[in-house]
Amino acid sequence: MTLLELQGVEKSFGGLSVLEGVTLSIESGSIQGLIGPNGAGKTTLFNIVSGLLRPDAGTVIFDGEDISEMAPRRIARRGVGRTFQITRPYPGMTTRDNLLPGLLYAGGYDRVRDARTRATELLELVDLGGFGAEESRDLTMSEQKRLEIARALATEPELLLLDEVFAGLSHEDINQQIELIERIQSDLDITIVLIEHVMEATMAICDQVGVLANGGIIAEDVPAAVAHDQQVIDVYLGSGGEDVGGGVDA
Amino acid sequence: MIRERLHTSDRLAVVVVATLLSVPLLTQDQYYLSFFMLMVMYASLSIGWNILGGYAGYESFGHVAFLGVGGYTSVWLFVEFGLEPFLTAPIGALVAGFVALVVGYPALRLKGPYFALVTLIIALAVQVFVTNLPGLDASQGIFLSAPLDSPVRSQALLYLLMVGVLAVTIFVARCVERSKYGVGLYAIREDEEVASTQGINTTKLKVGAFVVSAALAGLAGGIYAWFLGFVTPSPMFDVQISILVVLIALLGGTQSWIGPFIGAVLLRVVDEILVLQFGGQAAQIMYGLVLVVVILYLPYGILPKLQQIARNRVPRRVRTLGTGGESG
Repeated sequence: MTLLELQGVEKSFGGLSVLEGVTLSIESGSIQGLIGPNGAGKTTLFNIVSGLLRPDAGTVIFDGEDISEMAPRRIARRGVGRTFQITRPYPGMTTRDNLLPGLLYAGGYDRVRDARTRATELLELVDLGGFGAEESRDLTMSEQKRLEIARALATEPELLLLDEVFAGLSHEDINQQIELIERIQSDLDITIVLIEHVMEATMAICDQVGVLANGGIIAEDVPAAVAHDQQVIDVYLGSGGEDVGGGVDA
Repeated sequence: MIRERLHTSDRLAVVVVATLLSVPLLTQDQYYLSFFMLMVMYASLSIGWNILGGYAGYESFGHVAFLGVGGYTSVWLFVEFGLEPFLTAPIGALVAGFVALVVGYPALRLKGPYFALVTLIIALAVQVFVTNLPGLDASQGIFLSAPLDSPVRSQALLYLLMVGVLAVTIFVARCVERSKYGVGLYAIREDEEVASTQGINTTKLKVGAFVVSAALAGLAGGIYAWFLGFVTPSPMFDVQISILVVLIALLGGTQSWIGPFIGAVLLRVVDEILVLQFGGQAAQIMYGLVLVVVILYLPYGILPKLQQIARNRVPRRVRTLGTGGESG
C-alpha cells in the first residue's frame, strides 16, 4: 500500500528553482532513503511534506488524502512526524518534558500525567532512559539526535521523516543508531523516510533509495543498484567519473 | 477517593492571600494601605502578563491598555448606571479580553521587539481612543464616589477586592502552568516552528493567552479606578505601569507565578525605601541602577537564583512542566 505519494512537486525560492517536478511514492512499512548532493532540495521536500512550506505546484498525498495545503499542526495530527537536521530540542525543557507537547497535541494524550508516563517509555525506547531529568541542551550530539527521534515519535506518527540523524556521529554511534532505527520501525510498525549523507547507514537500513538531484528524482532502486547507477555517480562526482567498483558508498 | 496532592506553591498561594487579607486588620493607616494596594495590583498585573510574556515568551509592553480599558469600563458603568465595583470590574475584564481578542490576531503575528513595539503603540492608541470617546469626557477627569460612607473603610474594601483579583490571577496562572495548555505555551516560547510541527495551534494558544492576561488586567483596572477615585487618562494609561509590569516579571523570574509575585514585593519595597531616603528624582536613579545590577547578575530572575542556591545546582529556566516544580 502506498502511504505517501508526491506528484510533480515544484518549489522555487525567488529565482532559484529547487524542486522541478518531484514524483515519488513511499510504501507503507518500508524504510526509504533519500540521498542527493548538497542543495538538491532534500530538506525542502521534508518541509513540504510536513507543511512548513507549500509546494508551488504538484500534490502531496498522505494515506489517501491531499495534504499539500494543510497546516503543519494538522499534518502532524494526521500522522507525519519529523526531526530537524540541526537538532532543535526545546532548550529550556528537560529531556522528558521535550516530548510532552507532541504527546499532548498530536499523540492523543490529554492529561499531562499520562503524557509523562508515555514520555518515559519513549525515552527508554531511544536509549535515553536515564536522561529524563537532564536539560536537553546538556545532552551530547548523539543523545540530542535520539531525543529528536523520540520527540517526533511523541506525535504517534505513521510516517516518520528523519533528517540526517546520522550526521556528525562517530562510527560506534552510527551502528547504534542503525540498530535503533530498525528497532523503532519494527516495534512501532511505522514507515520511515530518511535523508542521509552517511552512505554506510543508508546502505545498511534502507529497503529503497531515491536520489534527488537537479530538481527531480533521478534514480530509485534498492541501495546496491543505486550506488552503481551511472547517473548517480555523475551527480556526485561530476560527469566523466567511472564506476570504480565502490560506487558512491566510499 | 483520589486526593489531589497539594503542591508547595498552592500552600504558598494560600499563605500569601491570607496574609494580604489580614493587612487592613493590622493597620488603618492610609499610607500603608495604599502601599499594599499598589503592591498587590502590580503583583496581579505582572502574574497575568506572565501568562503570555513568560510562559509563551511574547513580551507585551502595552499591558496598561487593558488596565485602562477595565478601569474606564468601570467608570462608564458607574456614570451611566450607578453600578458598584463588584459588578463593574468583571464586566471590565470581559471588555478588556474582547479588545485583546481583536488586536491580538494581527499583533501576535509579530515576535520579539516588533511585538513589544506594536503593543506599546496599541496602548497609546487605546488611550487616545478612550480619551476622545464622545459622551464620556474622560479628559476632564471623572469622580467615582466611594463605595462605602467612610473613606477609610472604602479604601480597605477596595484593597480587599484587589487581593481578590490577585487570588483569581494566581489561580488562573497556576492552572495554566500545570495543564496541557501551559505545555503548549512553553513549547511556543522555546521554538514556535517546531511546536507547529507537533500539532500545536500556535495562533489559537497565543491569542488565548493574550485574552486571559488582558482580562485579568481589566479586572484589576476596574478596582484601580475606584481606588483612584478621580479618574483621568494619564494615570489610568500610564506607560510606566506597562514597563514596571515587565520589569517585575523579569526581576522575579518568569517560569511560574511566584517569580512575578516576589518581583512585585521587592520592587515596591525598594521603590518606597528609596523615595523615603532620597526623595523622588534621586530615587528614580537609584531604582534604575538597582535594576541594571539585578538584570546583569540575575538574567533569569531572582526565583531561579534562589532555587539554585537551595539545590546548589545550575539555574533552570523551566521546571518540570505541569507539576508546579515538585519533581525534577
